[in-house]
Amino acid sequence: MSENIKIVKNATCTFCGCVCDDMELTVDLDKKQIIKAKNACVLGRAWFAEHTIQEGPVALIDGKESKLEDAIEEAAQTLTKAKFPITYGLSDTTCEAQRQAVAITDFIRGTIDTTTSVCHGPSGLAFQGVGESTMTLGEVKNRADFVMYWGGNPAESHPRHFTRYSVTPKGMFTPNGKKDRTVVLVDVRRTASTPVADIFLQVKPGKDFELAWAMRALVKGHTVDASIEEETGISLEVLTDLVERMKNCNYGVLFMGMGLTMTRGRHFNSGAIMALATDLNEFTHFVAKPVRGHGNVTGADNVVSWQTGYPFGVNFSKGYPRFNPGEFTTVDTLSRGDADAALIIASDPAANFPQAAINHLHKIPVVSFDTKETATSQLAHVAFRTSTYGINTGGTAYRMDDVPITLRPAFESPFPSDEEILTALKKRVHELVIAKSRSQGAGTAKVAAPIR
Amino acid sequence: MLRLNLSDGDSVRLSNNTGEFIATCKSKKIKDLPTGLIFIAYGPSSSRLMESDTGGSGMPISKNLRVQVEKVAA
Amino acid sequence: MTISLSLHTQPDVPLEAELISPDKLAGLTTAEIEKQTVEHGNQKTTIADFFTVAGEKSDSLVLEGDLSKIKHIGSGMSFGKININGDVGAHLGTAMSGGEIVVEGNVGDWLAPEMLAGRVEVKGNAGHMVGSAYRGSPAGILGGEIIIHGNARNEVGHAMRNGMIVIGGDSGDFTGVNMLAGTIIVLGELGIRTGAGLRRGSVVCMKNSKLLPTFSYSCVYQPTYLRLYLLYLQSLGLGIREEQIMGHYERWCGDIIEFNRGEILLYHE
Repeated sequence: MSENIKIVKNATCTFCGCVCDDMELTVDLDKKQIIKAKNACVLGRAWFAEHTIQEGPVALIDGKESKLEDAIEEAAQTLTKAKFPITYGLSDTTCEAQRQAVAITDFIRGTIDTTTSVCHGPSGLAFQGVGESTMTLGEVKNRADFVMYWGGNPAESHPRHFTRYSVTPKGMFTPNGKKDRTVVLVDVRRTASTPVADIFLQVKPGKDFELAWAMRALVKGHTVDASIEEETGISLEVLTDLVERMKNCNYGVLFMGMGLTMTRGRHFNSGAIMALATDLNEFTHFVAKPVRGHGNVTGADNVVSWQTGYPFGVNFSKGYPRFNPGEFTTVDTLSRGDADAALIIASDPAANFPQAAINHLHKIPVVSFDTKETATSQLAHVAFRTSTYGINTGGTAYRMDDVPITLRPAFESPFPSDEEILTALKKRVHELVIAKSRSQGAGTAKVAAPIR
Repeated sequence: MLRLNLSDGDSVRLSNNTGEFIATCKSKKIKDLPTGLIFIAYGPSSSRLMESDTGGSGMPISKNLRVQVEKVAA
Repeated sequence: MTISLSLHTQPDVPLEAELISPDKLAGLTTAEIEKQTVEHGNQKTTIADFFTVAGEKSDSLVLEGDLSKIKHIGSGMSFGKININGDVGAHLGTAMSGGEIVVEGNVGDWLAPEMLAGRVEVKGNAGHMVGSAYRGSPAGILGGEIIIHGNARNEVGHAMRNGMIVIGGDSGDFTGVNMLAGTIIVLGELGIRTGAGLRRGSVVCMKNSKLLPTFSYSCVYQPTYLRLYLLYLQSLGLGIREEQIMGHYERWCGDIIEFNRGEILLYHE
């Protein structure tokens, strides 16, 4: 072990939406790696251990090493030439970088979308339709005595969600931790999270909406036919008992997983859960919250919302923002073959999109930003290698309950941050857009002043 | 798995109208994973089976996909 | 006399053409129509770049070609007629308040969302969100009629407030979701979760369907008003059988979560 050791206290883990900010990192500055991450969960430890510095070129054009300036120029040219450029990703980078990406998309009159659209985008839609009664995780820790997870497996996807916020921690009104809470889990299969639950409802696949809808009817005091058991796999007795418990708790929380948003029904499934929380507020305090995946996907929603007015799937082709998921969301713009260039930041759509969308990505010029080689950077026309947020670069990330948290980087990376390259790219794109509008004779063309 | 005469480590082809891919089986207790359900990880393999239609929501159906299972020679 | 636009160049990215509507083109000469701007992605181009224009000064438009990448045709139109010989893209007849659109082929998503009045007839299939509300908007169509001879997909008549939507084939999931009033008639199969959050209004289907647990059976009867609707649809060439016109229908009321004032009528063989 080298002598050059640094301890970073209260560092933030940006792996999942929990954004735990109580890490104590032991960093070997000579080897440029984190050798110990105290307080981190199994996923966090892997996240910190994995991000070492791998030698490699900072920029590639068509797979060939190139200078950063040339790559920025090439990326700017590609994006400004496009008629329907799309920006996608943004969930694994800082809010500061996300802000630059929104500005670039505005200048090139493109379409901006984040990984929200294939994560909790439907919950975002539902939220616009039915409203959301919300909270922060601190409230859950201190007050919640009824916690329900629907369609998620936090023990494996967000390991510290249970221990830090929602199940075991002792809070102001929950002095005995787990003993003071009723934990309910709804899922189609038994997972690592199941043992934590006091009540486990194994719902038949694709019947979440029916179950939630029957619960809403029960909450409102209506009768539900006993055939609900055959339909959903949950007996009326169990449901009635559960609804009574929900009505009689002091502070209830419904956490929504992607089992709701990724299955048939999508936004209506999460809408049903949010509406259930609203109905329950007639009796007690109840809130609903999506459990978000990537580190700063909540930040992406927040940044895109405060810059454009809409959370994701925003189009600027007319010069002002328009929102229409299903039309301007990335899976659609790619699989329908609409997009003619793509700027993909800190995300790997080539590895998890439907095949039709991936096929279209292969046909168009792609500019990618990533900390390592990915399926997307391999097919990219211009690929930038950047430093990792939260480990090498500071900034802000939002926790899943919309609480902004400052990042404390552990060590320096030889690669620039997303924000640095995006700022340079934005500057160049802006110059090109102005030059283009002047050359078209529109001397008074309205181009927004650059955002500083 | 008994129903389909499969055992751990066998290769199966999962297919639907969108595409197909070959996976290796691992058994689970019936209590944990009910009959008729297969669990696969989200990623390049699930992409092949996902339809690109998003029903005006931006979200492709990525879970609860109906697939056909066939045993293939390893 | 009509204005005819036939597509000569397929756009490579979506083309937005709110302008193709009698309200905008009726008073113009051929040369003026050719110069009208349409948006090709983020670029401004003219109608002549994509269409061959013939005719002038008419409130009747005839469009030819595969227009499936062309969006917003007939947006906000209030009079006249558009005939489309081919497929057409999303947002056809958005918020139209009068006039008629007839499509010989298929249409994309968001057909006539939030329309106020007027008429749309589609001979082929339609996409998602037929006659629906835009995301975040409280009400869908306020009136008018939408007739689709083929199938439609999810969320037909989402939050519709009045008017009539007819699907000759099958409809997708969540038909008449959050519907406030109005009538939806489906001659084929319904998808799942029909009428979730239904407040008032009727969803009629000629096939049996499994409904949500929040709908309760009330009776079998012969709705008088339905005969008028079905006779009218028969005259349009939709496949309505005589026994359906005089037939018995199961009435299910719901959604109990809302007012329980809506109804789903299922044809009783």
